[in-house]
Amino acid sequence: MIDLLLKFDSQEQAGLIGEQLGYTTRDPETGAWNTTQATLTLAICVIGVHYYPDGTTTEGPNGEQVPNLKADNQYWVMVRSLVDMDLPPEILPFIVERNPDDPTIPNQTWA
Amino acid sequence: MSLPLLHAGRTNPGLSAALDLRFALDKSLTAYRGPTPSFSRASTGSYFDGSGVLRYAALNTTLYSEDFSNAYWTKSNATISTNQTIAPDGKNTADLLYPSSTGAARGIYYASPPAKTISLYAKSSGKNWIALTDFSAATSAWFNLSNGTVGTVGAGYTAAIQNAGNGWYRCSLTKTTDFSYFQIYGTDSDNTLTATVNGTDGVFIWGAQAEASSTVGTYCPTTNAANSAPRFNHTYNGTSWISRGLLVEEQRTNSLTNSEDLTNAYWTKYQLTISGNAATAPDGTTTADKLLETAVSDYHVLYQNVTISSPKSFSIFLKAAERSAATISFDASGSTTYLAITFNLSSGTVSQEINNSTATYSATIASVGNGWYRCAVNILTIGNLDETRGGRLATNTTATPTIGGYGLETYLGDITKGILAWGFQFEAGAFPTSYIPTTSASATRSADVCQITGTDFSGIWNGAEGTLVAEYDYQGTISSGPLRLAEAPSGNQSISIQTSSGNLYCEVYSSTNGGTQASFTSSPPSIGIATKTAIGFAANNFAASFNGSTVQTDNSGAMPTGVANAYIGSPGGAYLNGHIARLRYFNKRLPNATLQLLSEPDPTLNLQFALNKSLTPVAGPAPSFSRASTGTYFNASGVLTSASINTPRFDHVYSGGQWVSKGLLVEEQRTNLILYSNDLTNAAWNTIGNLTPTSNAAISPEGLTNANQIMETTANSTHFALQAYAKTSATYTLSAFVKPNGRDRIYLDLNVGSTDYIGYFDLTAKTYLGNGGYSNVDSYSITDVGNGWVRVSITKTTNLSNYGIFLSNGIGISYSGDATKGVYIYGVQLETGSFATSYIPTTSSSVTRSADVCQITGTSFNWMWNQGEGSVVAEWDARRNSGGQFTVYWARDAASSNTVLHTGREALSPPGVRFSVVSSASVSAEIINAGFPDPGVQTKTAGCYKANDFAYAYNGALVGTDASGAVPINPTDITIGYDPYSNYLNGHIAKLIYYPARLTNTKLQQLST
Repeated sequence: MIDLLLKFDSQEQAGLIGEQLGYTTRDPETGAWNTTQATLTLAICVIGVHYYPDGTTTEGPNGEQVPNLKADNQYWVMVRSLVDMDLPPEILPFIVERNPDDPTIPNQTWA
Repeated sequence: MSLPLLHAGRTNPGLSAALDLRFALDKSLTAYRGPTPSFSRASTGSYFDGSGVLRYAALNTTLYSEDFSNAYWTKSNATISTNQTIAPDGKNTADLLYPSSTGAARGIYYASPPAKTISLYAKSSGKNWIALTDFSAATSAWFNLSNGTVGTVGAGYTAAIQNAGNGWYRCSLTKTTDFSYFQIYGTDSDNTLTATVNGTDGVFIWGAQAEASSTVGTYCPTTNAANSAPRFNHTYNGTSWISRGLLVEEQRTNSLTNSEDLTNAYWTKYQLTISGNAATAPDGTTTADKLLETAVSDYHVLYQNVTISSPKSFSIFLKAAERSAATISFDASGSTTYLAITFNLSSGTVSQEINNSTATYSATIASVGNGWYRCAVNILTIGNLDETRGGRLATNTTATPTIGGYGLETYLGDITKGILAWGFQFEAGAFPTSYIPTTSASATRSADVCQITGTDFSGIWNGAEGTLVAEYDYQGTISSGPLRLAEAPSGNQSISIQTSSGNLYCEVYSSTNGGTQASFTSSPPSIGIATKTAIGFAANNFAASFNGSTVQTDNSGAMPTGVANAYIGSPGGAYLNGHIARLRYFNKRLPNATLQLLSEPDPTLNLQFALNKSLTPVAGPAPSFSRASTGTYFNASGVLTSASINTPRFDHVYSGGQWVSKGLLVEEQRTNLILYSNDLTNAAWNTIGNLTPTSNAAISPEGLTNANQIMETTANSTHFALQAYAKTSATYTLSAFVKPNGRDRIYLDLNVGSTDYIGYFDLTAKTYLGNGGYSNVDSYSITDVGNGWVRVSITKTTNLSNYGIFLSNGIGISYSGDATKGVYIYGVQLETGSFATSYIPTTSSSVTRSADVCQITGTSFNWMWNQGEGSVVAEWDARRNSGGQFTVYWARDAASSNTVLHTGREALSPPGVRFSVVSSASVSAEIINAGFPDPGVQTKTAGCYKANDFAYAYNGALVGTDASGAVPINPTDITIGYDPYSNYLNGHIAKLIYYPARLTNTKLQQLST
């Protein structure tokens, strides 16, 4: 099994790569990307733009300090391959190492 | 519908068939009722047994195998008395062999059987020993008929004895070369050929067999001609081998020599080397060869040039090794005229077809298990290809290679890479037939002949009326039928289940009454798909039903006279080239409703997920399933359970005080955004007010003591537990399992700034009480999950500041608390989506549950699906996703240009549940049941397709029909509970059944009730 976290510069870039690999299609009418959630051997979770605390807070109605969020304007995708496989060279530049302590990297895992 | 006439079992009352041949069930010629047919085939023939091993039905070359008085058997100082006792087949046909004088070698024999194994049934009748002898005493084996043991065995021979019951033993002797003699002697004792006369003391003998095999095959009786055993064949549905019944084929010749030995010089190898006997072949022997490339940039091809006039079929068993694609090509003498068909040996598909010629052709690939595929290219008309050039087999680098001259791929070979091949066959005919092995010469498999004649037939025949029911399939061109009852093969007086111009056809014919008396026609059957036909006949009262279709009738005509034979699988001289699963003859003309019922097709897929709680089908192939993460569900005891990766979830709901099986849970991907979803003491719950959380305080829905207790303080204020992490705008659903513990009212809260979207719930009454005086949510739910627990949820499209739960005293949200009161809470979940899905536990990160993937593809799909017509029955419940959609099933080709789909669509007009059929990207039929079932409500539907004939039933009502449109062309798979566009059922599939026939509208309604 292989778990990957990918970061693309944009949804367009992610969509084109996904289309190249056969997991993403673009609706010819709306231009919207549609990505396969799962096949028998692969699962893809489109996280999209990641929001992380910008260091400032706003006080909530119960007195709590709610962190303000900042969009990273990147496009994140979580991939799990159920089988061992050679990674397609197309995705190699986009692989990001997970780091739960780094709020700029999505802290999301598979169940 | 209940019809007493169907009670045809041996112990049941009602009308029984006079003849019932259950070939697929019994795998035997022996009739379940009535006379057993005669069978012959003048050669060995191959078939697949129930475990998927290619076997050969032996040819018994011994003549008069049950009549040793015949002059064929030379008597040596011995006497044969015929028909002296009951033989192993239950008939009084066993002969007595005894010495006519005292001395050595008192027995019978014949010379030069072309066999490596001889065998005989024997039973003591005064003498307890029998010897089977090749030439002399030194080449004999002795068998003790008093205790069923083997005595002395000559060097170089192998002997065996099998108890055949009632004092009979089957004795056999095997050697590695052909026998010189087949000699049978009753003897006084072990290791002697001497027999002493004592009246008629001797041995009963019956069923002599000589065969080329080194193992003892099924006994096959003979008279004046060699004979071969019938073949009860199996086909592979991708997960198991299915008994198909009696295989009846025409005569065919494999014109290739050395069909399993590619090292032989008869095979031209070009830039290929052969590693002989490199792997296990489909017949279980280590005789498969590997084709290995040379390290040269060129074609890598192997062939024999054999001239056969078209139509002709070239077939090979292939298996992927280091390469997983192969091309079969035909060409002309120039390099630019060719036909090149490439097979993907990983996916089991015809992956590329390039026809640079005027030839017409077809190509097939069929899995035979263990990674082996039988690949065939059938040249129907030769066009401008060269009839004198044989098919060529080339290795490929890819399943879609760049094809050049001669229909071959040029590439730099790798000496370590290749494919496995075995069992080449090149035969005249438009389709491949069962494999015919060859060595130094071409070989012919004789036709299968099966009949009931003479008194066997006359004993069951009623010339005034009757009914025939046949279950059968075609494996090739549809040119014949399964049965003709007639006075002679010509059928001038006959009743037939036949074909006419490729259509299914029933006919009653009487030449003395002017010819055709009644004829009934149906559309062509699909290759490999089981077909049922029933015809009832009586003077002026004829009727037929095909695959359960509406009964056709003809009330005028005479019965044929002089009918005396049943020709099974070869009526009129042509051959079925397929299987007969079952034949029944009733000597009464059954009612039309019974004809229809008896001809109803069996499903080729029957998935009973709710009933069996398993992917294992009741019939047909098992679907593939995966899920790239764990997932939770309620088991039969109502315990919330985690299913591991790739494990299907057979879910239950709490209803009426018990847990009810709902079937396969299929959900879309979801992420629980709450951190520490079941630990409200964790700091992730960063906004706690006037409330004391305690973890592991009570038994939770998962049966463990891990539920949280949240207890209000005495403060006169609000009492809450929230997570404050801002979220961008989306449709959010917040859910939690809660149980009263002093308080039985709670508020679920989705908050942004000063706005609270509230769902107010009564946990005792299990009701929604409104917004509690705050802003409305978009939707809510409250579900009883037993043991006092409910799961509550609210949904709102908004951005978020925080989210969580407030306690209530039943009056308001702010009150003076009682330090002993609160609720238990477990499994809080915040997910994007318009409803809650199954619980996803989290700790320090948000967690994603992957989507459930259930589908049937490739060989399995091809095995079950009938392109020409079919019906799909489903029982399901669903929820519409954020796009207002769900999908129950979706059969399709790769581009989804040819589909049969069952979906819910809110955005289309009218909104509702649709049964749709698309052919070549054009909608053929779309039948819509307006509106949607409520979430969780079980719905039963049945849709069918056939050219210009579509229908859809919903919960027992016929929604509509459509009499115009084409059927989908070559769909390749069916997805269950989702579609290629990520529209998931988000519900349960209780059952999914596929019939390879267009069921009647009435039947669709019955099945959806």
